[in-house]
Formats: sequence, structure tokens, C-alpha cells
Amino acid sequence: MNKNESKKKSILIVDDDDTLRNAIVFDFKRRGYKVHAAKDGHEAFEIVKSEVIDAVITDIRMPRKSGVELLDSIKEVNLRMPVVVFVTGFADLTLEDAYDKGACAVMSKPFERKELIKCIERSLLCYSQKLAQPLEETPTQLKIELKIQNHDTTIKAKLIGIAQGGMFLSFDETLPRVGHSVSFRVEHATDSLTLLQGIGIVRWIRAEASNEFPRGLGIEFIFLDESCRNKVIEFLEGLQVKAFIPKAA
Amino acid sequence: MTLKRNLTLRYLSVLILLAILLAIGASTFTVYFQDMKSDGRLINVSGRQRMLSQKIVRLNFEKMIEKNSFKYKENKRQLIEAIDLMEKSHQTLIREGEDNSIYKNIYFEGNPSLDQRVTEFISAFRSFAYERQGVFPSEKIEILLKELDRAVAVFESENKKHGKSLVAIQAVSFILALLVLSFSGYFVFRPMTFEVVEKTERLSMANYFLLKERDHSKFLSEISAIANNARTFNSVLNQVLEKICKHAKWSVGHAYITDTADPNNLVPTKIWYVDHPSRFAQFQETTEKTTFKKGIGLPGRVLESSTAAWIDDVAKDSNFPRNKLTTHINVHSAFGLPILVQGQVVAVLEFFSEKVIVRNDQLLSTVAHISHQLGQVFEREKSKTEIKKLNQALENQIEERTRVIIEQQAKIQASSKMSALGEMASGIAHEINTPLASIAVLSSQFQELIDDDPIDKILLKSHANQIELTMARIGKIIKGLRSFSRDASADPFVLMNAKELIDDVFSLCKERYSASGVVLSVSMSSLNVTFFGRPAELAQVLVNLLNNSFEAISSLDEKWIKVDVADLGQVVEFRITDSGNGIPISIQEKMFQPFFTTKEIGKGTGIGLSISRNILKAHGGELSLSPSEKNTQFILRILKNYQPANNNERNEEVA
Repeated sequence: MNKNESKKKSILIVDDDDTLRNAIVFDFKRRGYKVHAAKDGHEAFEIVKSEVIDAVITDIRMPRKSGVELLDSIKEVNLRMPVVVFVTGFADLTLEDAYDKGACAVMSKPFERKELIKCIERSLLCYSQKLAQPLEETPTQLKIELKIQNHDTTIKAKLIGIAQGGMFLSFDETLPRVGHSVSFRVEHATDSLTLLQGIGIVRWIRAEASNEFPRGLGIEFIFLDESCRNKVIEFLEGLQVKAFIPKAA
Repeated sequence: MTLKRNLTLRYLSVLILLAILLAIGASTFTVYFQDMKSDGRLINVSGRQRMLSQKIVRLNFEKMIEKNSFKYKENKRQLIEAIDLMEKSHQTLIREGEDNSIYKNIYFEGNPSLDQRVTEFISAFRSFAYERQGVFPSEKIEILLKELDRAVAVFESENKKHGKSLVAIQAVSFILALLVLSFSGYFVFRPMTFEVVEKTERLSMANYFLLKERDHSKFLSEISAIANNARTFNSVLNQVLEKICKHAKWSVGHAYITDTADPNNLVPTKIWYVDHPSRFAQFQETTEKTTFKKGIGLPGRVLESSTAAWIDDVAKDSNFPRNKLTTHINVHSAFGLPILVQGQVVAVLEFFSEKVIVRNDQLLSTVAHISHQLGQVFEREKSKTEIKKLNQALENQIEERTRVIIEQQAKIQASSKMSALGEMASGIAHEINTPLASIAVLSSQFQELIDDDPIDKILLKSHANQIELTMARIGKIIKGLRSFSRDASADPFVLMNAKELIDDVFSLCKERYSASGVVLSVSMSSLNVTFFGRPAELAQVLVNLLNNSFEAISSLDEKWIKVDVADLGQVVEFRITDSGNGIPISIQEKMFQPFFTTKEIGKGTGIGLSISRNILKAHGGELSLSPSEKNTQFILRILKNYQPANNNERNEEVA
């Protein structure tokens, strides 16, 4: 991505810590983005409402309006706006909740600056750009094959859930770790999707089933196999959900 | 009984006889005195008549010789008067003494009778009294006097005869009375004496038995006293052995007890009474080595029968093993006594005498009482031991529970610290992670910027500067955390600064509070208020109070916490005020008590305020709730120059 392209994009950076906020602002400005900055959620949401914002980077813990509240507010006005949230490793917000609320990335402080930049760059891409490049580096650490023979939607509904950027899979076998890459192949994921095949990264795992949710994992789509890509993108673009990765099916 | 009646009859008959004899004697006396009385009258009358007659004679003479006519007349009147009196008295004697034969006889016997003589005398002298002339009848007086004397003489002789017969009667009755008395002595008093002697004998016998009975009950009561007062069963046995030996005058007493493992076996004790220890040393030694099965030896026999046993002479007894075991046994008679608890023999007491004594059932029955009584002591001691055991067990339990409670308290205290830490942990993590993120970003940028051409030195310097500042921030937070890293109660008192304390505390809380929209502010009367204390402990107190405030107001619309620091000379005062509306009076007193909490279960330990108060006390200060403030306000006062006498003071208070 060159500077001219990125210039068009505007990013809102929200953190009550001046040093950190300024440092992040510095980075994105240097990369040619149009950068807005806010000290808290309240201030940030005013900007979101008044300005054209393509992506938001926000801290969670802030006075007046927290990052979570800001996320919820943004999703109310714009389902598709990518929001990256910072967590501090403590349970301000669980990973599954963050993705379910629509965050496209969750970064744990202290984070790697380059990863944040990469993450923002990626989140600003459209599906066809984002999902066309297979992972260059390591081979995937887990292969998940799910053949849903049965066309019974009630069973299906318990096994898989798909949202804007990923899916929930009910999973009984040994769970991979967060950050691991998995290759997946799901047949008859939905009535319209006969095949869902590609590579993803495990964003969260649920080792213990609860009354509400089954045991399973949340996977962000990284690459979709060409055979199903267009169909899946079509499917994803048609979704009217705020979640990036759903909590359950 | 018959004897008694006989005696009574005899006694009564003697009394009747004596009464009769007395009556006889008395009657003779009566007769005698009656006679004496009448005789006296006779003599009296005779005497008076004699005197009157002589007076009449004398008055006649005087009248005869009197020349003076007046005196003559007077003489004549007196003379006639005397004659009248004599006549009257004579008549009276004759008339009144009608029934009295004695002097009637005297007066009317003879010819002429005395009566005639008196009458003659009176008439003779009466005629002479009226006539001055005539012959003085002197012969008349002589005759009368003679007659009167004769009458008296006759009377006296008669009286003497009569008196003699009366004396005889009296003598007879006296002799009779003596006879009666002596007979009664034989028939009444002698048997009575016998009876008295017999009764006295019986009484002294009874007395003897009573004394014996008294000795016996005294003995038993002494045993009872021993049984009741002794501390242990062994000491009871000791005393009882001695008592019985001394009571019965036996030389040796010893106790066997039932084997706890085998109720059919008796084991010797070292409990002895021996009057001359040297003499029985060998016997004692043998005994203390000898156990007895049921039925064997004296103790075994007692164990088998559960009753006392007697051996007249152990030397001649076939079932006395100790006889064969020792050469100088020195004992002969023996008896054994069981101590029974609910029919079971728990011990056997054995007694030995140096003499040969035939079976003394009385002694055995006396000591049989003891056997039961001692059984009760044994039982009592057993139950005492059991109670003691139970008590010990209870005490152990209490000790254990107390230990557990103390442990739990310590855990709760630690967990309260941990929960306070936990509450802050995420805030602290954020507080640290954010500057860490800044450093990470800045240093990453620094590496990139250094490759720029040309190098923007000012920018790089600014980056480096920011990294440095941010790291200092982290250092400060870490410093603030120290209060929660360990037990600070033994820390030394150091000179500390109020501002630094507040800064440390705020660094721990500020981030979390501002995240929740709580405005935290501080105002200080002076920037350099110093005092002595344990920084970590005081930080703990402030954090605790701030967290309480934070939780209380987090749901309110208006959220602020204000800390005011004031220098009051000897005292430094911290006032922590929050936007809350104060604390209800009903819980104001209780809230300083340990484990009092208004928070929901699992949220609070309820010891924060009590620990805080103790920490303040350890600083010579106090923690109180402001009564006047509209909002909730806690006041901490700390003595600036307070030094604790004992650094462990607070530990003790908390424990």
C-alpha cells in the first residue's frame, strides 16, 4: 500500500495516556493517514459522528466513556467500521466478547507497534484483497474438517456460526492455542454455503462448555480457498451482524 | 414383770401394816392426851378452889379485925364475891364435867363427899361473912383443904395406872412396826435390790455395746471420710489399709488390683500398710512379684467368690502359695476383702496378723461395708478420669478449632490484602502496561527514525526523553505497589512525607478511578508535612479507604473523592471525603468491627476498616468517621513523632 492510497483513509486514535496516544498518532501520520485523536470514548464518539472515520484504535479503560462503550456506540452507527481495541491482559473485556461486539482486533498492552500498523492496514482492505493471500510462513498447525451431512438446520446451528471476519466452531477434540493457524474445511456450513475452506487464526478458545455456549473456538478468516472464496465473500458481505467473530453458532 | 408386781404388792401390804400400827399408836396417844386434858382441868379447879377457899379464909380474918366500917364493908363485899366465885366454879365443874367419870367419881365418892365438903365450906363462910359474930369455922377450911388434896392424890394415882397401860400398847405397836419393817426388808427391799443390781448389770452391758457400736460407726465414718476426701483411688487404698489394720490391730494390709487386660487375674500393687516394715520385708517382696489367678491363694479366692475370705493360719493352709515362696513369712491369720463395682471385683485387700486368730465374723461384716464404699470411690475415680479425658479431648478440640480460626483469620487477612490487590491489579496492570506500550512504540519508532536520512535529532531526543519519563512513571507505580507486596507490620518507623504517601497511593488508584469517572483530587495545607510511620502500612490504609469510597460511589451520578492533608502541629490529619451521602448511624459503630461488611457475599472480607483502625493505633493515631460532614468523610490522625514501644504491637492486637 502506498502513501497516496492510505492518505484517503482516516484513523481515530483514542487513549487517555498522552504519551502512547501521541506515539501512535505519530506513526500513522508518518504513514500518510489522516489521523484524529481523542482522550476518551466520549470525545471519540463525537468525532466518529462528525468526521469520516475508516478505522478506530481505542483503549478500553478511559474516563467518561470506556472503549467498550465506544465500540458499542460505533457499531450502532456503523456495523462495518473496523475497531481495534487494547486490553491490558486483565479481564476488562474477554476476547470472545470483544470480537462478538465487533472488534476486528484485540491488542494486549504492551503491543507490538508493527503488528498494530499491519492490523490496521489489513482491516482497511476489502474482503477480496484481504482473503486472497495464503499465509506465506509456517504451515498450519491444525486441520479441521467438518462435514455436515445432515441438512438439519437445528444441528447445524449448534456447530458453526459465521460473522464478518471469522467463525465459531463447536469443537470436541484437543483445542489449539490462541494465535495458532488452522486450515479448515466445512461442508454445508449454511444452506447457501456448500463449502467453506481456507486458513484462519485462532482468536479465542472456549475449553469449557457453559449452559449457554458449547465448547469450541473462534477463528478469524485469513485466507479463503479460491474454490469457495467468491461465494463466501458474497455471503459475508450480505451479513447484517456487528460481530467480527461470533461467540456461538 | 411378775416379780415387779409381787414386789409392788408386798410393798403395799407393808405400807398398809405400818399404817395400821401407826393408827393404833396414834389412837393411844389421843386417849392419853384427852385424859391429860380433863385431869388438868380437875387439878386446876381443885387448885383454884383451894386458893379461893384460902382467900375466903383470909378475907374473913381481915373483916374480923377491921375497925373502919368503910373498909369492913369493902372486905365484906370482896369476901362475898370470892364465895360466889368459888360456888360458881364448883357448880360449873360439876355440871360441865358430866361425861367425865374420873373427877365425878372423885368429887362424889366418899361420905361426906368432896362436893358436900365444898358446899359446907361455902355455906359456913357465907353465913360467917354476913354475921360479925360467931365462931370462925377454921376446922372447915382444914377439912376442905385435906379433902381437896386427897382428891388430887386419888386422881393422880388413878392417872398413873391408866398411863402405864397406854405406854404398853405403844411399845407393842412399836415392836410390831419394827417387825413389819424388818420383814418388809426381807420380802420387799431385798428383792428390789436384786432387781436394781440386775438392771444395773444390764445397763452397763448395753453401755458397753453402745460404746462398741460407737467405735464401729466411728471407724466406718472415718473410712467414709477417707473415701470421700481422697484424691485418688490409690491414696484411698493406702489410708483404708492403715485404718483397718489399726482398727483390727492387724500388722499388714496390702492391695491387689484386677488386671485391666484380664479380669481373671490379680496383680499386686505397691500399696501397703505394715506396722513393722523390717519384719515383713521378705513377705512384701514375694507378694509384689506374685500375681493370682481366680481361685488361687487368698486374693484369688476372694476374686472367685466376690466375698471376704478368712484363713486362721496361713502356715496350715494348703491354698496359700506365698507360704512356699518365702521362708520368713511371719504372718499367720489372714483375711481378704473384695472391692466391688457393680458386682465385679476391681481390687482385693488382704490383711495379715502375726497371731493366729479364729474367724471374726464381726470384723468381716464391718469391713464388708468398706468393700462397697471403696467400690464407689473406684467408680468415681474412673468417671473422673473419663471426664478428665473428655475435658482433655474437648480442650484439644477447642485448641484445634482456635488454631483453625486463627489460621483462617490470617488467611482472610491475607486474602483481604489480596482482594484489595486483586481489585487494583487490573488497574495497576493497565497503569503499567500503558507506559510499557508507550515505551515499546517509542523505542520501535526510535529504531525506525534512526534509519531516516537525514536523522531528525530533535525528534530522536524527544523520543528518548519520553521513553525515560515513561519508565520513571512505571518505577513510581512499582514503588506504590510495595505496600501490598508483604506484611509491613514489622517495618521500622521512618520519616515520611505526606505528599509522597499520597502520590504513591494515587498512582495505584488514579487510573482505575478515572476509568470509572471518579474524580480524585488532593489538597494539602503544606507540601512538606513530615511525620514518622510505616509507609507501606499507611499506604494500605489510604488505599483501603479510597477503595471503600470508590465502591460506595461508583454507581452515583456525582463521583468524586477528595483527600485533604492538614498539619495540626503534633498531628497530621488526612480527611478522605467522597461524594457519598454518609454512612447510616446503625452501621457506624459496627463498621469498625472485624468481619462486618455491607458488601455482598464474596465481595468483601469485612476486615479492612478494623485492620486500618489497628494500623492507625499502632501509629499513635486514630481512624474515625466525621460526624458533621454532609458527605462521607473518614478522618485519619497520626502522631507525627510517635515511636512504637514494641514493633509487634499491631500483630498482637490483630491476633
